[in-house]
Amino acid sequence: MAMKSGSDYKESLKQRNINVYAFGEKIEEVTAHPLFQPHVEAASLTYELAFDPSTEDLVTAKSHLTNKKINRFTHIHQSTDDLIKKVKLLRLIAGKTGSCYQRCVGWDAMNATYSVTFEMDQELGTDYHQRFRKYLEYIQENDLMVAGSMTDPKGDRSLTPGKQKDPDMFVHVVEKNDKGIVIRGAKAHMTGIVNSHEMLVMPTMAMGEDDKAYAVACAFPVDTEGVIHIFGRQTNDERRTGDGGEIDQGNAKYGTVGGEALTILEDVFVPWERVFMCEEAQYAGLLVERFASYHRQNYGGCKAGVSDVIIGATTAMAQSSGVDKASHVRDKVVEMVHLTETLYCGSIACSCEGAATPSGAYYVNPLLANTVKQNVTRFIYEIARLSHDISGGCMATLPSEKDLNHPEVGKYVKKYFKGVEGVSTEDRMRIARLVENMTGGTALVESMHGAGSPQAQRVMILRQANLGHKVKLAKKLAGIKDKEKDL
Amino acid sequence: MGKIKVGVKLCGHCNPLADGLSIVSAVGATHNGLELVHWEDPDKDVLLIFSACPSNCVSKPDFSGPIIIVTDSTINGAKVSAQQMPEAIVEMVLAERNSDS
Ligand SMILES: Cc1cc2nc3c(=O)[nH]c(=O)nc-3n(C[C@H](O)[C@H](O)[C@H](O)COP(=O)(O)OP(=O)(O)OC[C@H]3O[C@@H](n4cnc5c(N)ncnc54)[C@H](O)[C@@H]3O)c2cc1C
Repeated sequence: MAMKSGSDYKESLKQRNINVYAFGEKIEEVTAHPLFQPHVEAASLTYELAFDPSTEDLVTAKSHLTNKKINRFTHIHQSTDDLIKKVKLLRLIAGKTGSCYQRCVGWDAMNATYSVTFEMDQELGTDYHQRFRKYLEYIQENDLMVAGSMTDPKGDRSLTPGKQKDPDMFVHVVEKNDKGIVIRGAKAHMTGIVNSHEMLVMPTMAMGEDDKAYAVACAFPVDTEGVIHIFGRQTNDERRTGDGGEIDQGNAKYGTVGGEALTILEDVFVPWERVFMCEEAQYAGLLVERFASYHRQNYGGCKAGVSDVIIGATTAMAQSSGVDKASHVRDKVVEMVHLTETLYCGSIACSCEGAATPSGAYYVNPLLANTVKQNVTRFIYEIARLSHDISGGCMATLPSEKDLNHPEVGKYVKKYFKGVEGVSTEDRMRIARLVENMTGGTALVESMHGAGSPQAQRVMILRQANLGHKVKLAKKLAGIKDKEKDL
Repeated sequence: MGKIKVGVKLCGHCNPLADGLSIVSAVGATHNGLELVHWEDPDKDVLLIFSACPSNCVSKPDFSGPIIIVTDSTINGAKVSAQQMPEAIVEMVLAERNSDS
């Protein structure tokens, strides 16, 4: 098997027998439904660009398992250069889609599982890493899209998994036999899962011995028996399914965010060769930490690409309103660029400062990766705020495309929403709708909670902060000789 | 003499200051003695590596023949203006090819 093209990918989705519900209906074919098509198109670009000579250098890599050319979204990072290329790749594609193309989550899950299973086998004498290598080879050979499935519903957040009233609030092993395991529970906010081939389940947080049934990592096709996907709503999603045309959608081709689902795992059987952690609770935390850091690395890449589009759209709005030369507008655009490049700097830095794990796979600098994501939870909101400021209120009050084209009132819409000469009202509306699509509702929440809520990063930042060293530096300068009380 | 096969490798264009595809196609249009081929073509005579910004992060494949490295504003490290770029690349390909044969 070779790398898939965009159309091979779409074709391969049709071969699945996936159980998807949305708007109270069972969906017959995801690729043919307007609710999902933008997400399919966005993911499809991760395949298509592997064949474009002007992007293939980032989108492809050489497999360390087979030496074959593979899609980089299935690659295990072999150097800091690979980590840097990942960030550039994410910026590249986000600039083309203006939305999430979903494939990074599974990629991060694979990289995390690869290195952690190696360390588990070294300490425990298990064979998880060998199993995982075989699985990875299958993914690379067939160029499959994997949904990274970490987040559990979690119920009462103040309680550990085993203390929940409903034990299914965290995915857990309900049966083990000679063929494999049976798991039950659900995974929430699953990006791109309805248009993926496989899902790679990981525990959602560090676990103690009491919760060992919840320490499970495994993989299976998204259409396995017992798997049900309930698709999540997004801001303005009915603009896609109605007959209102494309302008009101803002980004008709690629939509908003990644298309998330609640995925129910109702007694799902997983054969042993696809099980990569089963009750080794002491390794759950390491897997979460690795996955989270790889995933947080991404945000200064993809969000920089998304912000490139927002900055372009905002500048075009300012031009259409005749305010682009105003000093405060220029200064605000500079601020948007500054925030964007600050995010990008962080992602490049955590990649440059990456290091080899015992498995040979490269891992980002977790302190810097968590710092990037922490910044994303603030800067993207600030970028959106500045964009709203410059774009003006029409972004929130524009009439519909149908009104624009209405035989009686269309002329008024064209007349009164016009800006400078030389820019049509329709083009002005298109840009305003793009800004609206990219800077509100669902799009913002992804920056806050995707890859973990802000507090999750702060916990890791504190853990990596090397405070003891900082106190030593301060004490030395202050002339304090007390060595006993170092942190 | 047959056409000179120029293997072309472009960077990923993540934040480009120049468009590699249009520069390379202008190279092809400037001199009909050149045949542009994919960088993996085993029969290439010259390897042309193009980066759309000065960071020049594109992966450099192993090749024992002549290699020309172009960025948005340089050819083998020497400054070249955008307008002169296609012609300057052609000149460099011909020079490298002659010195190699
Ligand atoms: C658009 C989007 C896409 C996503 N895609 C994926 C995906 O593909 N794969 C995946 O695995 N996950 C995905 N996620 C999930 C994401 O990682 C979670 O949203 C995130 O970890 C927060 O979990 P939560 O949503 O349950 O929020 P909550 O846990 O409800 O957090 C709400 C608040 O409660 C706080 N809190 C939570 N627990 C505690 C506690 N014990 N003590 C004190 N405070 C607490 C949090 O810090 C936060 O401030 C996605 C999320 C979004 C929004």
